[in-house]
Amino acid sequence: MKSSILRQAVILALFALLPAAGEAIYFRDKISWRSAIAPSEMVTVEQARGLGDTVIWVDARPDEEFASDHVPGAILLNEDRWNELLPQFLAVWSPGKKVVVYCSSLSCNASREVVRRLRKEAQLSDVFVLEGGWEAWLKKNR
Amino acid sequence: MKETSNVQRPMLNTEPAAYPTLGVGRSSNIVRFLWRTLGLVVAAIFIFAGLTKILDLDHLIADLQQLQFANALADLRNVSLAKPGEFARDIDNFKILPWPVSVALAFYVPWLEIFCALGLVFRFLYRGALSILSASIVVFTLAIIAAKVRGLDITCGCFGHASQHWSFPSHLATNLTILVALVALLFKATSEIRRQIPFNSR
Amino acid sequence: MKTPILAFTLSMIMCLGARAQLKWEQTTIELRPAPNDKQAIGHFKYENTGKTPIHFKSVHASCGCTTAQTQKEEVPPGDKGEITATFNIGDRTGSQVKTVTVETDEATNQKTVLTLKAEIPQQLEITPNFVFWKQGDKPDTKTINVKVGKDFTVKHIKVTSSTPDFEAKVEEAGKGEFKIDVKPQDTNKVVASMLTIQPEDSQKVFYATARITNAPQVQ
Repeated sequence: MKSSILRQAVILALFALLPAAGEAIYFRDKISWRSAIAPSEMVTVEQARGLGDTVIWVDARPDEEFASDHVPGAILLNEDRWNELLPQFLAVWSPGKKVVVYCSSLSCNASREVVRRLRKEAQLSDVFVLEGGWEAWLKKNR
Repeated sequence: MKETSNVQRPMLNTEPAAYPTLGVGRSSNIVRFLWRTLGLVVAAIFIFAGLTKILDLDHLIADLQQLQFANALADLRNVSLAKPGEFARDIDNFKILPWPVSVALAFYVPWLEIFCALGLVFRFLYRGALSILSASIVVFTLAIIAAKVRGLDITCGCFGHASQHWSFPSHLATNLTILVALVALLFKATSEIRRQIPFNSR
Repeated sequence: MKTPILAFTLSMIMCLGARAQLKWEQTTIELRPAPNDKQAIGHFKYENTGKTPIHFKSVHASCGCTTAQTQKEEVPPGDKGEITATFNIGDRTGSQVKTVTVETDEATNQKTVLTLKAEIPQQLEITPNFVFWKQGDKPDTKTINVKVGKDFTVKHIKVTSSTPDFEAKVEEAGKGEFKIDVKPQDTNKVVASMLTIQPEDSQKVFYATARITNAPQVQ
């Protein structure tokens, strides 16, 4: 009787593989199997550092937080004053540059929104969210 | 399926018709009905759990919680696939498995849950389905406990983002209740096989 | 046989029906601010339906753009009140979802997430709002698409360039859509221009940027 439960379980497990594989194939370009950093989305502090001089750091936090402290050389670009700050950022950008956007921590959403708008509105590529945000940068740099 | 060994066993005649009194027959019907209902409820839970990971049901669930049925109907019409990687990230947040395994499970587990739940509904590969679901609930529960012990702040992802704000005790209680139900159903099914009740369609 | 079933049903009901003392009238509020509004405010009303007072341990918003205020720190039994969530819209557009997490000292259900959804109307959707040519590239025309928001009617738009280095011409594509053709005089110098896009009969202005950039360094 035990083997029949096992056999049933194996058959079910195999059945479920089919739609799962189909879904994996359908989304093959939207998710990276190699690392949690989807190719089009996030980078860790180490990865950002590895990009060297091609990186433009963008701070998506409110004005006061930027004023209090920020990544050296970072440009402020938040949604509160997007229309005013975007042209200033675009003046600094050039093709080939990689943009790394951060907000306060892993759980804040501001950097994701800024990345989304840069990709959608300005149609820039190579724009990434810094995983862990300002908190993560501080841990590695201070 | 090799059930031939059972043919040698004495058949316990538990057919309601064998009992003289109507009362006993009716009560065993009610009992069977309750077991069947339990099975369907558990199946519904797992179908829901699977669907919340495959489809983006956040809006729908929020509207249902607010009892805004008109909005819910609109959401149903606009339902789309969930963003891939969301559930994978939830699994990855437990920091137990490597990322590629999290991705594979994120694609696989919801379908496994749905197929097993359908097995419960249609009584097809029934015991296999129950055992897989029991095993998976045990694994989820251990993972939640491990995360709590390590102080990780996680979204379980068990019921999609609907469960992200549940407290640890509610999560644990829900999982254990489901596990008890599954194990009970499994024992029931196993004992039915042993006694050769005709309603068991394996 | 029957007793275990009864036990299940009871425990399931008890677990799934963990009752909270603090009852919220709504935990999700959807707002539709007017185009010129600077804030969207949601009033989340609650009532203490329990027998003991409830204290707010913390109330914090998901982002810096949203502030939340309780009227009181302690809610006596039977009392009502509200948490006011103020979302500063800034230059945000489209569907915005902001949350406020409320923590209380209740026995069960200590955390509640209040959700504020706001649909920010956008008069013009400009894609892309940035066009560029690399130094030395052919000075081809690049097109910016302008789409009028569904709650608005715009018959004409006017586009001006802040410098004479770029020429901008508007084409009406019909059905609330326009095309702006941008062409640089040449791509020899690194220059930038702000394109001002103004809908007819509207005070509001929108912007796009045109630039000649450095050629990327060979990597």
